[in-house]
Amino acid sequence: MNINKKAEGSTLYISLEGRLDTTTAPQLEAEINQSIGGVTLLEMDFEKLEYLSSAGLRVLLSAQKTMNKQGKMVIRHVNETIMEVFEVTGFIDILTIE
Amino acid sequence: MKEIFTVFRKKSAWGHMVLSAVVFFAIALPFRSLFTLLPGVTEIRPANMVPVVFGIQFGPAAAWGISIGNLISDILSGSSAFVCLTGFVVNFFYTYIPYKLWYTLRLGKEPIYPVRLNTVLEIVKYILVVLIDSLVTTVSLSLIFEAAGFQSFFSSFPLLFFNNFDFAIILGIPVLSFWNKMHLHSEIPEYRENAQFRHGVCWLDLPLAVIAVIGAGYFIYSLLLGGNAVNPSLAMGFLCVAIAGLAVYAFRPAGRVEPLPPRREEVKFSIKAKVTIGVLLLTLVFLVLLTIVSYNALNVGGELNRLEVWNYIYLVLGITINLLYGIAILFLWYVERNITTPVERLSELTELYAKQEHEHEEDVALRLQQLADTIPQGDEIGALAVSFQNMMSELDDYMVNLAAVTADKERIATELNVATQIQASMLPCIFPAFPERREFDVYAAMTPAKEVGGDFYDFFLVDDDHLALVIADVSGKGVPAALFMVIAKTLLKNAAQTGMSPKEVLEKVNNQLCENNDAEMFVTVWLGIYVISTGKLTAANAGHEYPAVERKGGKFELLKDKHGFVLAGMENARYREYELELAPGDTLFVYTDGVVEATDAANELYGTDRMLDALNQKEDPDPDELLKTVKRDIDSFVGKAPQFDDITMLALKIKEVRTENMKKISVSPQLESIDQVTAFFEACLEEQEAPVKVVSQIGIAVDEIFSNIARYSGATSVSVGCRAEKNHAVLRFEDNGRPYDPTQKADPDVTLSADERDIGGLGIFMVKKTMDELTYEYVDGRNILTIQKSW
Repeated sequence: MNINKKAEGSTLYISLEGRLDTTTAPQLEAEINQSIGGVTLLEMDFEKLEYLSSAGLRVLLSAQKTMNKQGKMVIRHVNETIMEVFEVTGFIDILTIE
Repeated sequence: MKEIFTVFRKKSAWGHMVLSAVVFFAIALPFRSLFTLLPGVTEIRPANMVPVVFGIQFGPAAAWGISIGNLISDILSGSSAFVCLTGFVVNFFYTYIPYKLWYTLRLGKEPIYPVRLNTVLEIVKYILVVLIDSLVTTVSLSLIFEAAGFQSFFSSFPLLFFNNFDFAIILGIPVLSFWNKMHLHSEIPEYRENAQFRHGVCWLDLPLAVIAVIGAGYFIYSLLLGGNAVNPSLAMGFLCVAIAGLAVYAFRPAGRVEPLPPRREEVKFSIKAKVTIGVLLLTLVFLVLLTIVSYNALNVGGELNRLEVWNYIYLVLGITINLLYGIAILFLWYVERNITTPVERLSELTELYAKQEHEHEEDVALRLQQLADTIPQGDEIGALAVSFQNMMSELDDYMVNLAAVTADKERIATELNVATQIQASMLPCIFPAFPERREFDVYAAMTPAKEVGGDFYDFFLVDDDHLALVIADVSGKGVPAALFMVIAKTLLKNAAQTGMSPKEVLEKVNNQLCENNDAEMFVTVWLGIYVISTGKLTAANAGHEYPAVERKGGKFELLKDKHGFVLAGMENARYREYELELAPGDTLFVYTDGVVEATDAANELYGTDRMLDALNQKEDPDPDELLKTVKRDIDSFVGKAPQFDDITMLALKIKEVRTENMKKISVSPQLESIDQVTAFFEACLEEQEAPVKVVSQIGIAVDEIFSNIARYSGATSVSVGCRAEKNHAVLRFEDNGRPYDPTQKADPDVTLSADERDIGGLGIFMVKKTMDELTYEYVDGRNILTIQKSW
């Protein structure tokens, strides 16, 4: 999985490419933890993400909890498979998907 | 006193009364006409033993019988009223006194027992009773005769006395002994507690003494006066005193009668009684001879009258009898002291010893010693007692020993039993052994010859694709063979499970077994490793029997493979392995020498030809059927001959339907393997051109499931399988980790807000939601999770 990270002021842009699964989720978690300080808007682009597993959900949940305290998190370009995962797991109500 | 009348409350008393009278008559009548001594007065009267004997045995009832009988007889013979009346009273007491005396007299410390003449003391007592009774009765009768004017007291007394005494002694003892043997019931007087009369002689016995003194005094008085002078009025006076005395004596209370001790109760006819009877019979014969001889001798001159002759004879007889009895009793006393009593003690000792388990041991030991001490030493019985004591102590030692040995034996038997169970449980014995494997079917059986055997078989999956088969025979039998078998089996399995080839396994295990093989045991082994996916069997033979192989549709034939040396025989032995292609439908049969070397009663060997015939009996049998057929054939061949060796067999059949067309790979259970597994499934799905979304969903599922296995199961081997069809895929995960059924996991609450959410359980939940079917099995130590997905 490739993680592209870009910070503009207090906005953090992260775009993911490949699969967010058991083996790759820790990388994303590390990246987010490293950069999330002072961020008020976290924008995640899932356009090139094939799918994510529960390990990925865990990272998203953790990021959402953090952003609930300091700002807002937005996820864009969610494909059908991932949307189904969000729907099934109830994450669709937790996350802000645009 | 009361019992004289109350006795008739019992019905049997009437019988006793009549019986006494009849017997009395029956014996008296013939003698009255044949041997008259004093016409109208007396004759030779063996019937005189009847009152004494019946009196002692039956009591007052007999007294009534005798006295009434005598009264009738007196009336019939026309005796005067005086004679009738006094005769009645005297005859009553003649019968009643012995009864009363028996149950009041005590000799020494011996308690009063019911009438038995089994000991010297009892015989002495009987003689004493007869003596007193005869004396009292004779005095009374002689007084009647003189008072009635028949005969002087002086001349009738000796005749009557000996007439009474002699017959009662001679005939009474055998009769009472006989009755005793027949267990005839004796009439026993009622005992009433009365301190005054509890023991021995009391003042109410005085009348008997008075009568005796009167008799003796009057006899001496008559003797001094010259003998035959008759003084009816003086006699009448004395008679009144005597009858009054008898009447008083009737009030004499009886003593306490003890029941016979059990030991004496058991003895029906004691040695003493037998000796007594013998002596008495001899005496009787002797007396009869003596009587005849002396009668003839005395009667030669004819100068003495009949009465004087009989008086004389009776006197001689009386003295002789008493002398003989004296000697006999001394002899009996000797017998009793030295033989019967010690024997009795010995028997008590034996019984006590036999019963000792029910009592306190110390007590018994003490009592045994006390009893043993009372048996006099120095003769055969003493020696018997000593040897018996020795026997007892030896028996004690033996029992202690036996208990220990038995306990030991039982323990060993139990342990052997457990050992058999352990051994049995070491061999895989659940069939079908691999129900989830459709590619092959394996079946094995062992029948040990002894409790534990040296044969064994084994089969196990080295990994998902390798099945190891072992059959082996340890030299020797029993526990040593079983122990060696355990080692060999464990080493073989351990070595085979590392993935070594059969040759390497045998070489390694051989060297391991050779170390410390002081018992010089060895084991023949056939080891095969079958590659399920390719159908290739690699095998090595360490001195074991040839395997038999059946090709599909063909017959079983021996495969003459190259043998290596037995395991544990020689260090660093080399083994060769060979390959064998087993196609679907083929069957492999391996066995131990217990099969081919089974012998029938004629010592003929079962042999490989018979075995092959049995194997070929049925076409295309299942392995278990095959083994059962062979076992049956062996059993019918052997018949009743004993089984000398363990009979062990193993069969492997390759099934037609080899797989579910499932592709499989084995991977190491680590997170790093996820990419490999995912790639495997993607390749499988791409062949059927599954939609991207399905591939993604399956990718998620694989990630969830495999990461769970890798993280939590503790598995050491994982294999995954995939079968994809046109629009359907089956995925399978197998691991040997902890049993865990993910389908049972509760679903998480997906409606909670982010802050309340916990991430656990979402993965499996997603799999359940996105896949069509999720099934879980736990088979043979493996978790098997199967996923199905259609599109």
